[in-house]
Amino acid sequence: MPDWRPEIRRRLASLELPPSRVADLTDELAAHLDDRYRDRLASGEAPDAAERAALVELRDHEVFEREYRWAIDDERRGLTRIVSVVSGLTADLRHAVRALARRPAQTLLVVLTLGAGMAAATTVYAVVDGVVLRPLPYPEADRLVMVGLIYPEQAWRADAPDVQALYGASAADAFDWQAQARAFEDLVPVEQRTLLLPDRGHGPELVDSASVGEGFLELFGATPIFGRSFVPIDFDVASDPVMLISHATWMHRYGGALDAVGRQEAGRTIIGVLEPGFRMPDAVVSRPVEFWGPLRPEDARYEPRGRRSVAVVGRLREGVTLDAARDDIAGVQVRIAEAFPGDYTTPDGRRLSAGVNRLQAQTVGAAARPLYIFLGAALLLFGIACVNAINLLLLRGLDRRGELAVRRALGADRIRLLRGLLVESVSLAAGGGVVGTLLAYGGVELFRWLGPTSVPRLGEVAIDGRVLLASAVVSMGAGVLVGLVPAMRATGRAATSVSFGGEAGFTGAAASGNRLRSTLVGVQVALATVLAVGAGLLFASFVRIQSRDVGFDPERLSAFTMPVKVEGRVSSEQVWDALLAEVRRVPGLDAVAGASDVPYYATTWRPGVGVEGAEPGPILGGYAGFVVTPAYFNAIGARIVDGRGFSTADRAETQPVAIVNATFVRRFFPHRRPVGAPIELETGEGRTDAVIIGVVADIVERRVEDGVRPAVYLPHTQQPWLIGPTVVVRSAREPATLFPELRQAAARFDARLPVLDLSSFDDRADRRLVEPRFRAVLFGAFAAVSLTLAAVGLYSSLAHSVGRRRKELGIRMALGADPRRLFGMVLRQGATVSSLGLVAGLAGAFALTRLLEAFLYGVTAADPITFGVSAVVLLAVSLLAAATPARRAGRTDVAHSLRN
Amino acid sequence: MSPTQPTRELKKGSAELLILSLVDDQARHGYDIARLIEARSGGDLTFHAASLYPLLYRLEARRWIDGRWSVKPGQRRRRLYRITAAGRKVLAERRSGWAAFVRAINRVTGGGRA
Repeated sequence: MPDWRPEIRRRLASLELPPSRVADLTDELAAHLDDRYRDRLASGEAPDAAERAALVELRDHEVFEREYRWAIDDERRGLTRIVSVVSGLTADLRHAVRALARRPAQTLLVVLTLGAGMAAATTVYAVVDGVVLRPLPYPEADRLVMVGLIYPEQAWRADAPDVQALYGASAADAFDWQAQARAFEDLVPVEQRTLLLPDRGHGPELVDSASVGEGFLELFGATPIFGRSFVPIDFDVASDPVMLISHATWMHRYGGALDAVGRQEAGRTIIGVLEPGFRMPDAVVSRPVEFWGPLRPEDARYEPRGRRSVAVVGRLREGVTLDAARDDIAGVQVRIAEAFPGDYTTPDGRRLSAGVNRLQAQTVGAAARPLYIFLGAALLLFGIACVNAINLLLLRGLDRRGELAVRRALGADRIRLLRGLLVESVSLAAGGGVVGTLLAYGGVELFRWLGPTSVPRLGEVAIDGRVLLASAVVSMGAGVLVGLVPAMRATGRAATSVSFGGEAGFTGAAASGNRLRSTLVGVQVALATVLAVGAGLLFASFVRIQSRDVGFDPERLSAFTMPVKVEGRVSSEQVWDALLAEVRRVPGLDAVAGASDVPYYATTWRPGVGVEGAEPGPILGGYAGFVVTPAYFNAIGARIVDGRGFSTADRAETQPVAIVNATFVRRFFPHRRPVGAPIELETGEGRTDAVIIGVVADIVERRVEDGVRPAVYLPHTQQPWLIGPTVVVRSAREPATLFPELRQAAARFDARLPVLDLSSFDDRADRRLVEPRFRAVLFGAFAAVSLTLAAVGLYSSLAHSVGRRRKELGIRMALGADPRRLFGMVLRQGATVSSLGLVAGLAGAFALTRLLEAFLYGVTAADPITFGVSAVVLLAVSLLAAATPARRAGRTDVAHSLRN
Repeated sequence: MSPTQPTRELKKGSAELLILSLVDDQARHGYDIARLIEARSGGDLTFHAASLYPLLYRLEARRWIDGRWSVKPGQRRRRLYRITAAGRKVLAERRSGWAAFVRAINRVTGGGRA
């Protein structure tokens, strides 16, 4: 067989193909020629004739090349298009960078502007993503649910519409539901507990632990990294108590020692260490759980059905909807309630039902709404930044008219120019995106640090791939959108049909350009106004919360709690008195008293109260009940406004007495004097009749914003069922100096018990202010940045306009115009634009601030003072921004301006 | 060129139809296609390698046919072409288009009795 390849290759040479392609074509043609040669031989031709016949297939060079080039060009055309576009964009990018570098100040301004907007938007979006959107870090998290009891009339949370208001259940409920409900694969009870660790040199410590039902760890995919997990026998009440520890606890308390497993702690054996990064779902226990024990169904503590200390979590069966699960569990609960009627009926005859929420919704709860509001504010800020950028690019386009006109004249088509300008704006946006993302890292840290503690999953917030992708997409998109109108304007026919040497031909384009730019500035002012009003309202709320009369004097007042259990024949009165006696031994104290609950903390006791002759009807949230020692009101500086306080004369054997607060009086004694009136109390011990002996001015409960409920105060001598008091002390010295001595006093009383929540009331007050302060600061920051951007936008616009009109202004001056009039003219120009923007902004704010209602205290969403102040601030800022260009107009150098 | 042999223009225009129809029923390599065209047309239509393969490459670029290398031990590798779904559609269109065209021409020229 002759070798055809040299001949074939000679023909392919002129096509300049890559070697692999040449090899392919050669093989194919050679095979063809082989076949032709064989056929010819087979039909009886001589070898060299056959060879010649085969070579004829290749035709001559010219024809070969023509045919092949025709095919190859066709192929190449598709590829060429892509290659040329890519190389075109690369060239555009190089040009863009050079053009941007030529005006560094302008470039930097746009990049920083967009960067500020992106920083705000990325930060808040990262928080929204981490808290609300991202699925929980457990396997098949979308099917995880929480089940609980609900009050049928208040089944839905007021602050989160699709979420049911679940209450804790009993362990018996959990097991009944698991047995009877069909919508779930698994339902497991979990109880939040505390564990008392003995003194190891820092005093005894109360730590967070949890008892988890069988199957809990499997439900959440938690496995021990060493040791073992729970096995069925661990859940048997007769077997030895065991527990698992979290990874953080293992490192922190046991130094990561390998012999931690097997150790005894608080009467239990540690059997394993859980993997790092696993934590109890926020919805079940919002603090890190250190010790995990098996929930033993037979344990006596779970026997009473009325003891609702357990949260129930589980997983929906595949394909079951939430509504179906809700129907299922409600039906099951009806049957359970029928079997145990006493346990599931409220005092006023309502039947408790059961409800289900997705675990994620339960976790996020009410946190979503305020976060979305913040996101809205951040996007407003981003909008302002973009509008600012558009304006700056429009001005930039005006400056480059000459350059672009020349390029048009030299034949560049509009698409290419547009593409180039868009590449510029996208580059600017990319730069802004990078700046913004870097700032956002800091922003997220700041959010976490300052952040309201009520936001769940804050620890999971991070700038990860999802957030980066979203921010990249947004910044690219912003780059295109922001650059589009300026690019169209800059390359449009009106702009580029330049008459060299004269600006006179511009009035048409200039006028409409001016209108657009003024409108944009107006939009910025409007948006900034909305943010300013929002910030003002939140700030006013914060101030009102902070300055509200709390009903007591927190200065140099401190408190702590001890979880004393009153057992045996010792009465609670003796326990309280003994503890307070020890505390009184600390020198430098002006007053010492005890109470069941103190201000700035949640009130746990809700007694039933009945007043003769008063209208019945439930009070939302019930009443608040407090048990106090006689010295309490004096110690905290509360004001008795009628009758008397408690005294040592009020003892267990004397007439039961009570003191009520002003809200109580307003509710039940609007027209008569309460002192001396009888009331009926329903406590854990049963019903008692008592007499009101005094009225105290309202004292704040947990938060100022929540208001004060009708409250009843009882003397500690007459309530024998108590647990440990909260001790309050007022001192002459600084609270912090007292703390060690207070701890010693507590240790003298009972060294085995931990001292909890030892702090001054000033600190407690501060903690309560974290949320409203945070909101005010966040909005304030957004408002400040947006005002700056709006001011910069107005300034740039006016400055540019003044610069362009130099000749006109010069002529006016030359003709004798008063500089002050020119100043006034420019100032008026700025003021007009701002005023229009302001009016639009106030209208917008009026519509939007109702979204903030949940956060406002003491001000309405339409508070006229706030609106007024915001308007004044905006006008002032605008005038300030306009002042410099206006001054420049007034100072126009006549000769200089006429010369150019 | 004899009067009954088709002109170059006619050949080029119908070449795609020819190739598509030949790879419709089974995959073939280039020489096979050329031989079949020659045989079935009784020698009236011939394609040289220099013309045939460029046509095949174009059809391949348009994704009307699909080419794959096939290696048999001891032999040179060959490229086999088969029709694609898109190609089948085009083939059907071209076939009916061609038939209509021929009918029209015959009607006008009044000579169908060749």
